Amino acid sequence: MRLLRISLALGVGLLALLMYFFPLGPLAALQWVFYDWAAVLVAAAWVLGLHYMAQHHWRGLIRRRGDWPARAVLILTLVLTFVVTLLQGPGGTWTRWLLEYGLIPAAVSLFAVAGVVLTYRGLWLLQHRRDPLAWSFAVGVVLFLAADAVRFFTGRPQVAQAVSTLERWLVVPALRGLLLGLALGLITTAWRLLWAADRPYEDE
Amino acid sequence: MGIPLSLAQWIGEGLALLITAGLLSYVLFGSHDVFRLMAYAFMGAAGGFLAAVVVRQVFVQRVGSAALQGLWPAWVALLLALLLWLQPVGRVGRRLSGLSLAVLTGVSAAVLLGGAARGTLLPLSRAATQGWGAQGFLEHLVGVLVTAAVLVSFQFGRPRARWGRRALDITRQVGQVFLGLALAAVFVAVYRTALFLLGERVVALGRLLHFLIFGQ
Amino acid sequence: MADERRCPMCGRPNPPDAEVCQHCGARLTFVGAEPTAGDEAAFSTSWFEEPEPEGRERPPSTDDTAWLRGFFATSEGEAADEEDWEPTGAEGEEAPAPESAPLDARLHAWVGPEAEAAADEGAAQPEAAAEGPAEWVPPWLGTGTGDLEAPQAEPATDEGEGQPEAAAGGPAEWVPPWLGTGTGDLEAPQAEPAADEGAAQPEAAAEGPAEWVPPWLGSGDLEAPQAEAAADEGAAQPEAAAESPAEWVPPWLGTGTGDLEAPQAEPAADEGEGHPEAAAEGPAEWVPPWLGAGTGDLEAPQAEAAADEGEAAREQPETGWLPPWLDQETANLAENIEVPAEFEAQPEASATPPAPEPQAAPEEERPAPRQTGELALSVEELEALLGESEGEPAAPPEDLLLEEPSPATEEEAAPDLEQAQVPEWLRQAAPGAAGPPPSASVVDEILSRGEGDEEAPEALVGIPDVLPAVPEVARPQVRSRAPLTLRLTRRQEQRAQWLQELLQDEKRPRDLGAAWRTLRFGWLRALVALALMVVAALVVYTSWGARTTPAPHPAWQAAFQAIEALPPQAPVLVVADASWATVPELRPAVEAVFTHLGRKGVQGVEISTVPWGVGLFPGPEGATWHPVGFVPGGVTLMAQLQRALPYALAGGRPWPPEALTAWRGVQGLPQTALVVVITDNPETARLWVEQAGPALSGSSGLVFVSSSQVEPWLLPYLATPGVRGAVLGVEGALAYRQALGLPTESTQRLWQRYQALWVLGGVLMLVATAGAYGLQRVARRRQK
Repeated sequence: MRLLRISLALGVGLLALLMYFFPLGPLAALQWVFYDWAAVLVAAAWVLGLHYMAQHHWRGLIRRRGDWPARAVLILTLVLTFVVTLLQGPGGTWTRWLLEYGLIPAAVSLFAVAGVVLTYRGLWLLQHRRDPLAWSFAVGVVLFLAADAVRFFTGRPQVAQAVSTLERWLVVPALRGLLLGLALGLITTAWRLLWAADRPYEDE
Repeated sequence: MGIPLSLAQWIGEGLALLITAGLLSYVLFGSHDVFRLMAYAFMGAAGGFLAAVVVRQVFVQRVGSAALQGLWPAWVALLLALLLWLQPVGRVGRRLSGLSLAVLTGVSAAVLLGGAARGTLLPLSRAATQGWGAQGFLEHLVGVLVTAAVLVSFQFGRPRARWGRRALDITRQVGQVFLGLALAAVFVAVYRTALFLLGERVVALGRLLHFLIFGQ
Repeated sequence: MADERRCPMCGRPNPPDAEVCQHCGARLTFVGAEPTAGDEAAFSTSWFEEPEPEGRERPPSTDDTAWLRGFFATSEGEAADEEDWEPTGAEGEEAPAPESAPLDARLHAWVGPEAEAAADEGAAQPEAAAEGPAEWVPPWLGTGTGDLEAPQAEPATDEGEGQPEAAAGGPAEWVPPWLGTGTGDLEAPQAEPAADEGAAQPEAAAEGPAEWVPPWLGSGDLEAPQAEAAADEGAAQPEAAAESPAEWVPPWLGTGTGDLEAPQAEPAADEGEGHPEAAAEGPAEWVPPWLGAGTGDLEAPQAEAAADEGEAAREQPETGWLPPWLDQETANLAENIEVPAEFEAQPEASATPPAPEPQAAPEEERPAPRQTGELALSVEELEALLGESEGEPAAPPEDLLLEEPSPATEEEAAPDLEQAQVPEWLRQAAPGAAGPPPSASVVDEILSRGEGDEEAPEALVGIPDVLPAVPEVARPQVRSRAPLTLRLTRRQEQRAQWLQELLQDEKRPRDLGAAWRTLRFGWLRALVALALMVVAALVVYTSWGARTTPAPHPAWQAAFQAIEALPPQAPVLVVADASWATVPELRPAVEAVFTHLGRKGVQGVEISTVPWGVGLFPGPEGATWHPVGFVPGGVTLMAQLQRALPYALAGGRPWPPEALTAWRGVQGLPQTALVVVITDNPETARLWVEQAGPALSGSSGLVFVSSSQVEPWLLPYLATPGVRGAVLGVEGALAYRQALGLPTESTQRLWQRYQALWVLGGVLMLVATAGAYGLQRVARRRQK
């Protein structure tokens, strides 16, 4: 079975890689079929993940863990929303009602909390590390915030231009380097996956 | 069953007010029961919504209809999905689900590798080396140096020669400085968004209260 | 396990009443957790706050694969329940709480290049050790976890160090898989002691041999017993591990299972080092045939022993077998040993002079070579050596056998051992002479349990695998060694020492300092929140602040021009990949862009590659709009859309819809007029540029409508051919509306409030940080 899994990953992966760069005429249809299967599996993974979440909280509920009322609410809302959305679809009336008055306000509120927390913890990095990266990070944050403060109080666009210049000269190239490094690491990892050096699909 | 729109809206606004107040209260009072209830309710609702959208729009409308039309890839896709869903079912289930994961791994790795090479590596490298006109020469030179320094800062190898190690350390330090600057820009961008949303919620609170009290 | 509390950040155990982790300083109470008694004063941390102990520096993570792992993650909508870290197991069961991964594994997960992969799927599983190669093992030498045995194995095989390795701390010497499947075998013994002791740690064997055995070496049988036993959920079933380890040996490489059980009693041998090894565990060294005389020879010693000097009763199923080239070194060593004359008089038992031809002596005359520990001596040599003081040819006492010897030999052995002239090199091998003693010596156990004369000669005490000097002998488990001895460079030695220190340091609770713990962030958070909220309200109702204009950013200008250049009825693909959280920020920009598209009269198809992006933004007026909804696939969909757009979007239904006449000739993204991506996730934006950008460098292109947080990540891509422009945040929305000539009052107010909050937030950040630092200093002084 292990051999089968590895062979499957190897075969499908290498074929997909080959067809990604070289559309092989008659085999192009096979490529789309592979992509379709991967797409369906991604969707299936969503469902599986939600199953795990529900299972976890259900166990906590029936075992009466400390916050079991909250878990009960979670299970209840999960079932309710699932049923409503399944029956009506994402564009249904009640689904949109849930979205507009429940999900979106909650998500926005949680993100807003981050704004408060980042305010008093944003520069706490220097507490734990004092290397060039941390210092330049702190200096950069202060610099960008100060530039916006000056721009806000004075209304002059020169400040924005200065910041834009700084971004163009330093920030963008640095991010380019970061993205290049990210891409290189991604290529390495994907290569290892393709050749089964790393096998996340193996049984533990 | 029909509910008057105004009533539905009234209830909805009230619900939004409760949710917003309950979740924002964390910043004032820390974690408490109401906050936890709201947070868990959001998690449950979000999970239910996602699951329903996936089941309905993927497995019913897309794959299901294709399978009913007799298209064999759809049947294979369903089979792979079923195998994946066997993962919680003991050892055998995990092994079987490994087949689906193997397919997913292979395809995803291939696509990601191709995209990274073709969509990031080549274009960004090209962008870094273009525009070497007289006007932007210095800017591009600085840009290339900064990009190289940041890339080197991810390097953890050690050259044999002492001078090489020294040069690498210096370059790495310089790269870290620029990287810190870039991360500061990212942080500030996220901070902007978060603050904006905080302001939006505060305004929404006022608006909701106004609506509930005055009806408009 | 029930008495300790596991830290969700680092996974290490803590006392049940601990509020913060003793190792990493993370809070053990989280949002969603019911406050424990005595927790009234302390505010629980949220998932934003991850305090780390002072001075602790984590190496920069080189793992760029987190997002790849996240691709395999179950759901983004699933919120982590930080208070409960139990991995779920089979249906109706709960997997046992994961034991601490082996120290080296956790360490490796910490410093390895793919450390994050270890945290996959919410399970702190020892498979963290299964990812990332050891630094000194080229990946092509091993296929996974096998590489991770290297750090443990290297000190074990170090020739230059006088440090006997810890006993049973890890697997035996790591052997590259291409040397033989013995590597799989080497791990089996770990499961056996776990099984024998009844410990509920079957997952120790989950670092099973299967991971790094190349497929061509065998089938899934190799992994059968131990890995399966380890993977049993909720059931400590070590009996699976107690099954015969012989199943791991593919038949074509060995003679059978019996051989693998035999050499349990054999001590491992080290050539010429004299270093006592820790109590050996595991099966004998099964050697593939191509290394020497072949595995069949594992049975040869039995035959040889039977024929050897008439000691038919001397069963030596455990005797090992040295490859000839190794035996040569044994012979070299024997030359340097003071051998009594009586011993030399026995040509059959004498050590053969070193000869290039390893099989110079007839096999039947040579003593059965046994796999010893650090001593590369044959049994006869050792016997004679120890018995030489009496001036008699030392008949090999039966207690040399690694089986229960007859009591009659006890008296012989002990006095013999006491009086024997122990050669210098052997004396040096004793733990007292050089280096610290092995931490767990089986022979020490044996000596402590012996029924007879429990006084063991000091010179030999602690040297494992040499002589069980007491009659009551447990079956010492021999840890087999690799046929090759790895030589470490100085750097590797240093690294090994560093790792060792790090491992020891990991166990100690860290002195985190009370200062930061006593710092209460709750009131600080409340103050900051109040200030921000008050300002937000003030700005709304008083229009405080200068009215600034949006900066002329080239990104939104290019986006405007790209949309302006669209012909009527142009096929435009709109991708709504935004999350719920940023809808208020995106709405002004989306409305502006949609208004523009509506004015151009495009034929738009709206899709979403994420389930939560469905139905967020209503279509524009004046445009022919077809919302498809959620289309699964993520990055594979993005790739599929390049050349098989109808196939991707149809989903079993006829494509295109009748109203979308312009889409009839569209086979892929290059045939579209424009692709508008609405997103708030930098990762999504990057993937779209990677997948679709190269294909859209012609007439079509990508236009992003995104929130401010994506702006820095998009800036490098703006210069690439496939990206036409971007409308970023509220500022971009305001500028776009101004360019379109739309009313901007509401957007202007929005922008103003946004800036005011932003400015005040920055000021508060500096003040709060300074205040927090000051408070910390005060707290530290008080603590001192």
